[in-house]
Amino acid sequence: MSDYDPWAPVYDAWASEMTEDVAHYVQLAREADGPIVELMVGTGRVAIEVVRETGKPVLGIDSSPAMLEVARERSAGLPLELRLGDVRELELEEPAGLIYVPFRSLLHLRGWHEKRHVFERVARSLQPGGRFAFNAFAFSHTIAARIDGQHQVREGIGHTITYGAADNRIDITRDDGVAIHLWWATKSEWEGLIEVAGLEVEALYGWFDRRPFDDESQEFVWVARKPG
Amino acid sequence: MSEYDSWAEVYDAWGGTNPGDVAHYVRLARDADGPIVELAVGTGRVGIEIARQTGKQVIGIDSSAAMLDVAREKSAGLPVERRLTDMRELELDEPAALIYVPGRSLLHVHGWSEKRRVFERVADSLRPGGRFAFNAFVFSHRIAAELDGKTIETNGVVHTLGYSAADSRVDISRVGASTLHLWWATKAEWDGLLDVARFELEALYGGFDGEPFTDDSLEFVYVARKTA
Repeated sequence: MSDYDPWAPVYDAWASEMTEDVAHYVQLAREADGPIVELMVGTGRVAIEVVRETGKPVLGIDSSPAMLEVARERSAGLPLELRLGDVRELELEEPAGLIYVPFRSLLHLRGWHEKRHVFERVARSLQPGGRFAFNAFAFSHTIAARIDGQHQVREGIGHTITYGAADNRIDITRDDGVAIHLWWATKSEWEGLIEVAGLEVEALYGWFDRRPFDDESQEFVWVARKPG
Repeated sequence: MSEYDSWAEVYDAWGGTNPGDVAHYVRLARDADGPIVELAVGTGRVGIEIARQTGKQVIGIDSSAAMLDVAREKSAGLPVERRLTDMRELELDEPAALIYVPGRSLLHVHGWSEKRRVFERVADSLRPGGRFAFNAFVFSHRIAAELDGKTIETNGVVHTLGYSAADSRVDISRVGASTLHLWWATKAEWDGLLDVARFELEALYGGFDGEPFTDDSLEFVYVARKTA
């Protein structure tokens, strides 16, 4: 039983606003010369499209059996391999050409040491020249101050978002009590994680259309590379 | 000429609301068995009190000649040695027992690489078992949303605050003076900087009276130790 299991039935609806990321990750997958791995694949929203559009096999890893069950049903007949595993324990038989984490899922990792551990596992699992791509929101105080403590309904899912500023944590609590946590990070922290893992920043975009990242950007769209 | 020069005259008035940090750093200075160094000493608000209360010599480092001039006048007759140097270039003749940075001054260092450099310089400049102590505010979305774009007066100093969430930056501007910048950091980032510079975390307090750091804390009060 994973913390994410109770979200499996509603996850696709929940994520329905996010569509623009797919083309970006498809493009990276097209360019990948070697195995392609999606971490925290969830219900397969992105991976299934990557497989469908590139024709390449994708390995999707997630810690929630319920999420993988949904992904399995949706990807019947497609070369999407689904594996139950925790990203903190990532180990591949063959080094990857591309490892990617869409939908801000890295924000589910807590604290420096856990994140460092995952970045190092990723770096070790890439072939030289292989890419690590992920995105995360830039924490906006304006948005946070507006919605902190407010009850909202998104795609029929009632929930309340609260913030623990000292722990840079966001708690999303559904009306039925199920909760999920995110820990936001600054640009500088992502840079640090990329650096300690021995990766190099190839690009930081401000959105999936690959506009440059600037002071007004609301999303970190990172592409890092393992030195060749 | 440093961007901080134009703030030297008003700096004591501006920071005049005593945040209670002096007693905390005085205690650490009393415990120190060896040279004591304050980085970004500015006008000497904390360094001078330490020299006065402990009778020990304090080496104060700052990149602003105008700030150090104010410190010289205020510290006449006290064992405060002032050095005009950027903390990124820190180099000591004798390894220190305590290096500390009060007044949230580490927030003036921009980006992971520069911060990492400062932390590594500090580690290189400490004797085994020596301490590195600093404090910084916790980024509060509520406070930021309240102050963003506002012109406020603190102890007679009128200044305007602007926030860039994407760069985790605060711009502090004042008529007739250079704009100062702060870059806020999360707990995970401070933990990461201590980790890469091979410090051991001795304590993280939520304030200057030894209170534990909790979800509601508004200040990071770090005490780290160079591994013996």
